[in-house]
Amino acid sequence: MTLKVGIDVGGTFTDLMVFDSENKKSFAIKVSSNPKNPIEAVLNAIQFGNLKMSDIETIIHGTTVATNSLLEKKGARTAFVCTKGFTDVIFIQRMNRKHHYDLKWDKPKLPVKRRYCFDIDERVNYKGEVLKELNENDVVKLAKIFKREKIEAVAVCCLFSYLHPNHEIRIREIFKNVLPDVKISLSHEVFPRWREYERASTTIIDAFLKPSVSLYVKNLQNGLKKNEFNSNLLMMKSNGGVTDFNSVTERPSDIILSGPVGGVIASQYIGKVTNRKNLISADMGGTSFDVSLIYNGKFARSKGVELEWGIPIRTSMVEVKTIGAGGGSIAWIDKGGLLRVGPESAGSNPGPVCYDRGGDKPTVTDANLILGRLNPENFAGGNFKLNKELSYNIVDKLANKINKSIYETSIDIIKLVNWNMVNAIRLISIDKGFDPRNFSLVSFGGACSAHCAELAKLLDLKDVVVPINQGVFSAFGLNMSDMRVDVSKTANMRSDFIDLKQIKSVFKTLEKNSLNQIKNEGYTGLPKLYKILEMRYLGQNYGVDVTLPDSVTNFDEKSIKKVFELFALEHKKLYGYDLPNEIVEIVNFHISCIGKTKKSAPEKLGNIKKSTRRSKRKIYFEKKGFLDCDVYLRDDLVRNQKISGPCVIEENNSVTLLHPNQKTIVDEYGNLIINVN
Amino acid sequence: MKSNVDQITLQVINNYLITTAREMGIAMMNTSYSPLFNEGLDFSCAIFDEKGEMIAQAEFCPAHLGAIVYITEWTIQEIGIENFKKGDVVLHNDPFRGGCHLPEFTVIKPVFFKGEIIAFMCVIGHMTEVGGMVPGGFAGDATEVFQEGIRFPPVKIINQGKDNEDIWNILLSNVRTPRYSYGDMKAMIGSLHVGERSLLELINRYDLKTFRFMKEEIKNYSEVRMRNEIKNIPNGVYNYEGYAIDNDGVVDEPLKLKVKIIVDNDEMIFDYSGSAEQARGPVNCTYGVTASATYNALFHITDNDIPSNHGCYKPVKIIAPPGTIVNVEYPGASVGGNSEIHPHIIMGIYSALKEALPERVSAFDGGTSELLAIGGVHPDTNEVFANLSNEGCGWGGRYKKDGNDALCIPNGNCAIAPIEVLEGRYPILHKSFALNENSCGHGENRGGLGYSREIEILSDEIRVSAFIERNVIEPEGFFGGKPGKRSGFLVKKNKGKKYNDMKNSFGTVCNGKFSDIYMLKGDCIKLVTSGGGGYGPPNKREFEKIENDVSEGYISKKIAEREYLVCFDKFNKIDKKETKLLRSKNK
Repeated sequence: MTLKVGIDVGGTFTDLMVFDSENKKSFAIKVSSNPKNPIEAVLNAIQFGNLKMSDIETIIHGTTVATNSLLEKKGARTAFVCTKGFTDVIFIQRMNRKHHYDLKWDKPKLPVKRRYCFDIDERVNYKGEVLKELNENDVVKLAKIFKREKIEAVAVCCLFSYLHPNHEIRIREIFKNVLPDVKISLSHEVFPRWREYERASTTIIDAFLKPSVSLYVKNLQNGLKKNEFNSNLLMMKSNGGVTDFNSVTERPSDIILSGPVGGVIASQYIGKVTNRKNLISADMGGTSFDVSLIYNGKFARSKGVELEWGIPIRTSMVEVKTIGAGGGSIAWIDKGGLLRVGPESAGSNPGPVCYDRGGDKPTVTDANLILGRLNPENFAGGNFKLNKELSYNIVDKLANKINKSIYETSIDIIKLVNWNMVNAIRLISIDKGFDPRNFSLVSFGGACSAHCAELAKLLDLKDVVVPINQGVFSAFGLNMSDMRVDVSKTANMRSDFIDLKQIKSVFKTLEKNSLNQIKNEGYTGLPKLYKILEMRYLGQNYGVDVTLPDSVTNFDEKSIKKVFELFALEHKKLYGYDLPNEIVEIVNFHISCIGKTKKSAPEKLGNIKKSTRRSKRKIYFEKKGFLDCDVYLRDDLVRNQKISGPCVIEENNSVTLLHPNQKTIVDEYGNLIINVN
Repeated sequence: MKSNVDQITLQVINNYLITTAREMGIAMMNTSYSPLFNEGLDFSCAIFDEKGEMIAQAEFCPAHLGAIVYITEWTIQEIGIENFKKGDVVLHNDPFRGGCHLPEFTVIKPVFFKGEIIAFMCVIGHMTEVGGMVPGGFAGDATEVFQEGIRFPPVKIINQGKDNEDIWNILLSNVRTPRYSYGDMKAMIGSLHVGERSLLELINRYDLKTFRFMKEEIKNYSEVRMRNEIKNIPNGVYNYEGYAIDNDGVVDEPLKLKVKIIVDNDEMIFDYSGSAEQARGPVNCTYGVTASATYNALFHITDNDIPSNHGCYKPVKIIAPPGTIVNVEYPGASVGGNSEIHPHIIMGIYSALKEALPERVSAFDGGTSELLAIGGVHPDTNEVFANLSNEGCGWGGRYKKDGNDALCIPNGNCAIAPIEVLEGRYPILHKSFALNENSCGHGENRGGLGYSREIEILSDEIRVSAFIERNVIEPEGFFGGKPGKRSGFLVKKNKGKKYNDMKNSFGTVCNGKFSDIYMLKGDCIKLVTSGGGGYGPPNKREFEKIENDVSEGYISKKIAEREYLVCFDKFNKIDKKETKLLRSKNK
C-alpha cells in the first residue's frame, strides 16, 4: 500500500503518474486512450505498468467525461422546475447574440425540452421574505408526471432561492418520496448566487450530467474492484482540489475542468520547486491552448465557464483560458488574401496532413515539420512516422497563393499561431494589471515546447520552465493536488453600515460548512482556510475579489478598514482608478478550504552522463534560413548542463526548440530553464 | 493584399487593437453603475487614428457604429487638433453634432506618444438618466431636444488630467440620480485609460512608424474586402417603400420610409429621399442613426469577418435629406429614432434586396426595443431611482432556418437585466416572464417568438414612460411568409381584472409611446413583444418542424392546423393522408 497514482484520461493518451512512497521513486505510464471505453485504457495502463492493485494506496483521477457528455449532448432526460410564471427564463435567456452581424447564427439551447419545464406556485422576494408559500400539491402532481414521462433528472431553480432555500429543499423532499431514483439538483446548492438564468443554466447542466457521470464513476469503481482494488479513489474538481467519487456524482458541474486543471496544479508545484511564484501555465495540444495564471503561488480563480456560448456554467474554478490553437490548427487564406491560422483544427483525426490519415489542410504541425523543428521519426513517442512530403505539397499550394517561399509561409503560420496564443495570455495577465516581466512560462502538452521560447520573448516574460515530466504533466499534477472545498454566500453589506457581528457570523457558518464538507469528502487532517470577500462600489454590478491576509483574523474596525483599502488598491490595479469617498458594498463571502495531502518530493537528477547520442539537423529560422542545429535527447541530459541555441531537445512526446542565442540550463531536478533574451 | 505589406504584423496589430477595444468594454461592464451598462452592455468602444478615422472597434452595440465615426471626426474638427492636450477627456452628447440621440454620451481621449497625438480612445454609451422631462431619458411625446435632457457640445470634462469641476457640477446637478451618473461617467473615463495603456504598450513593442503604416493598411484591407463583397451584389437599383413607424407619439399616424439602393460595381448608394417629413414627436433619426442603420444592414448581408473600421465605410454613400425622419433638423426631438426607426431601415434594406440576395436576408424582425423608463423613490431606501430597460423580440424567418426567439433587435446587442437584479434595485415585482406562444409569423421558416413581461408596482407611485413599436404595423413576412404578431403595452389598474391598452387606461394619444404616466401601488404592466415575420409560404413547412412546434408548445395545435393546413392524429403526429385531403380542398 505505498503507491499513489494520478490518472489523466485524454483524447489521445491515457497517462499514469505513479509515486512510490516506500522508495521515494516516481515513474510514468502512457497508453493509447480508448474513447469508446475510457476505463479499459486505465486498466490497460495499470497492467502495462505491472502495478499490483494491492500496492495502490490512492488513485487520483482527472477526466473529461463531464465536458464530453455536454458537448455530445448525451445526458439525462432532464426536467426543469421553477417559480410560477418563469419557465421560459431559460429560453428567453439574456437576449443578446454571439455575433453582431450574423443572420445564420442559432440561439443556443439548454439540454432540456420545453415540454419538460414546469412551474410551481411559490414566491420569495429580494429580501428573502416569502410572498407565497409553496403549493405542495403542485409538487406532488409534478412528481407523478415525471414518473409517467420517465424523467431521469430534475433541476429546480426558484427565484431568490439563494436567500430562502426552504422551498427548493421541500420540493426535493416531496420528489424523493415519489421518485427515489431520480437525480435532483437544487439551484441554491449548485450556485447560491443571484441572476436566475445563470443559476438555472448551471443547475440544469448539473442535473443533466448526473446519470452519465454516475455511470462513469460506477464503471470505473467496478472495473478497479474486479481487479481487487479497494483503496481510495479521488477525482479532480474544476476548483483545483480533489474529492471522493461519491461527491462528484452529487455535483458533476464541479468537474467540468477536471481534465485541464491537473496541468495548472503541476505548474504551481514546479513553481515551488524552481522558486518561482509567478507563473503562466501553458498547455498546447492538438486542438487547443489552455493558459492559466499563478500569482504569488496561487492560481487565479474564475466564477464559471461557457463551453457553448450563452450556456453559462457557474462554479468556483481555476481560471483556464482556452483558445483554438494547437498543432492541428489549420492555415487558410481569407477573402482579403490574408494568411490566417485557426480556430478550426484538424484535431487528431484526420489530424495534420503529415499524419497521412487523410487530412488535406495545412496545419501548424506541418509547418513545424517543414522547418525541421519536428523529427518525423520521433513523434508522439515514435508511435507513427510523419510524412514530410505531404506537408511540403500542401504548404506549397498555400505559399503560391501568397507569393512566398514554402519556408517563409511556414514561418508565417508559426508566427500567427504564436500571436493568437500571446493574445490569450495577455487577457489573463497584462490586461488584468500584471507585469509580464515578473512571470515565468511553464510549457507542457505535446506541442507547446516547440513554441514556448518564442512566446516568452513576444510577451517579454522572465523565462521559461520546461518541466521534467511535461509529457505526463497533468497526471503528475493530479498526484500533487490537495483536497479543496469552496463555499460562498451572497450577503449584501455597505461600508457605511458595517455590521461586524454579521461578518463574523457569516464567515463562521461558511467555515463550519466548508470543514464539514471537506470531512465528508474524506479529508482527515486540519485544513487551511482562505477568506475572500467580493466587493464593489455601491452601484456597480460586478465585484472584485479580495483575499483577506492572514493578519485579518478577527473583524474589528481596524481590520475592516484595511480590507476596504485592499479593495481600492485592487480596483485601481484593474481599472486605473478608485473612488475614495464612495460607499463600498460587500456582496459575497467566500471560503476556500484546502486540505494538504502527502506528496512526493522532487527527485534529483544524476550528474553522470549516460551517453552522448547527439546528432545534427537543419532547422529553419526567420531571416537566417537553415542552420545546423544540435539535437539533444532529454533523457541524456544531466544536472547543471548548459545548452545553447539554436538546437532542439527531443523527448518522447514533445520537442523543445531554442532559437539562436537562447540558452537553457538543466536544473538539479531535470527541468529546463530557458533564458529567452 | 499589397505585396510589400508584412501580413503578419498587419494581423497582429489588427487583432491587438480589437482585443484592446474589447478590454475597454469589459472594464466598462465591470465598473459601471447602471444596469443598462453592466447588464445591458449598451455602449461601444473604439480606437481612432490621429485623423479621427476608426481603426478598431469591439462588438458591443451596433447602434453606435455609424454615429461614433461622425462624433469623433467632427469633435476633432470643432475643437481643433492643436487644442487637445495630454490627459484631456472630451465629453459630448449633442445629437446635432453626429450623435445617435441625446442620452448617448461620448467620451474621447487623445493618446500622446512623445508629445504627439497618435490616436483617440473613444467610448460611447447610453446614460440611463439625463435629466429632461422624464426619468430614464425616454419621453415618448417630446417635441424638442430641450425636453429630452441636458445637452453638452464637445467640452473638456477632464483638462490635462484634472477634473473640470464646473462641467461635473453642471452634469450632476441636472440629472435625477447623480450618484449613478457619476459612477457611470467614471467607468467610461476609466475604460479610456485601459485602452490608452494597452495602445502605448503596442507602440513600445513596435515603433510609431510601423503602427502608423499598419493602421492605414488595416483600413485598406477592410476597404478592399468590403468592395469585393459589394461586387458580388448584382448591379442595379433596388427600392423599398413602407411604413417606418406606427406613429410619433404626438400624432397617431404612421410615417413612411423610402430607400433607393444603387449598386454600382464596388460602391453602393443608399438614398432615403422621399421618406416622411420630420415628425413632431421624438421618432426622428439623426444622420448618425441613419448611417449606423445603413452600415448595420450592410454588415449583416456581407461577410462579418471583415474588421469594422473606417475602410468598410468608404465604398458607401448615404443620402438623407435634412428635415425628414431620417435626418432631423435642430431642435427636433430624436430620442426614439435610434431605437425604433433604426431596425426598420435595416429591414427596409433587406426587403429591397431580398430578390437579389434571398439567402442573405431575413424577414422583418419584431422591430422594437420596447423601452420602458421608470422613476420614483424606492420605499425601502428612500433613494431616488431611474431605470431604462429594453426588451427583445422574435427575429424574422431566414433562408432554410426559422427566426430566433426573443433576441435584442439588430441595432443593439443588449442583454436584459436579470429579474433578481431588477427586483433588488427597483420597487417592482414580476408576475411572469414567458414566450408568447403563437406570436411568430408563420411560414416555411417561421419567425421567432416574442415574449411578455408582467410586473406589479410596489411603491406608492411610479413614473412611467414607454417607447414601443410594431403596436400597429405588423412585422412583414417574405416570399409568402405571414407577418409576426404585434407588440403591446397593457395595464391592469390595482384591483382591476383585465389588462387594457394605454389609450383606454390613461387616455394617451398613442398606445406605444407616451411619457410620465403616474402609476400606483398594485397596478400591473404587461409588456408584450412582437414576433418575427415568416419566410416562404406556410404550406411548404416540413411536417417534422410543425410537430415539434406543437409538442414543445411554441404553437398550439389549433393554430398549427389553421395556419399550416394540417391534420393531427391522436398521437399529435401529422396525418399525411388527411392533410393532403384538407389541402386539396383549400386550393
